[in-house]
Amino acid sequence: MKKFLALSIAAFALVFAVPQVLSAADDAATIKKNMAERKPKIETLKKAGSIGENKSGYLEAMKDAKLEDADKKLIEDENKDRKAVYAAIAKKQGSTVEKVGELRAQTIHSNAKEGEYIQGEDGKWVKAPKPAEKKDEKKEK
Amino acid sequence: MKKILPILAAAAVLLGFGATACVQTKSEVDVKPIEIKPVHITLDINVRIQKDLDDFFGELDAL
Repeated sequence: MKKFLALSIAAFALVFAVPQVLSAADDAATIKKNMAERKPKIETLKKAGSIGENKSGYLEAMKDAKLEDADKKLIEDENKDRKAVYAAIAKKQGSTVEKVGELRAQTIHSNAKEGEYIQGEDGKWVKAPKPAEKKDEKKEK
Repeated sequence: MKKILPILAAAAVLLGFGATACVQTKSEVDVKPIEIKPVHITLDINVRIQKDLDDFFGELDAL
């Protein structure tokens, strides 16, 4: 009977628990791969001023931007993947998706290239300054 | 008697300062743990989140 129980538990782990752990790792790897593939196109759209990085850690289309359907789908897919990553980290650290997104936005904004649109904490969109100016801002803080 | 009066006055003033200093020290000790703890916890969580974000996005940001 004990053997049967042990075998049952092992079988359960193999059928349910192990695939879940593996699928989480697979998901992360897949998301990373998809993000890497999307990055060049996203950079082009950012450079053109069609999209920007908002204060919540997501991509957002600019008001007057004329985006093709494929570009809209690209933004949607990217934001969906970002949200999945933020949610996983929030769950792990006992925080919220919004808080993780805000912290990610800070890094994105400090890495933004000159002229790319970023949304300030007040909700206003501004163009990212030159790297030298960013350094000065940090020193002032 | 005239000589003793200024000395007594000075001693009283010094005692007054001493007493005030004691009261201030007490109030600081009472307040500090209540105010600082939550800040530390928040910072700690933010640091851990930032580390997880860097672990995931680090390679992508470097591309």
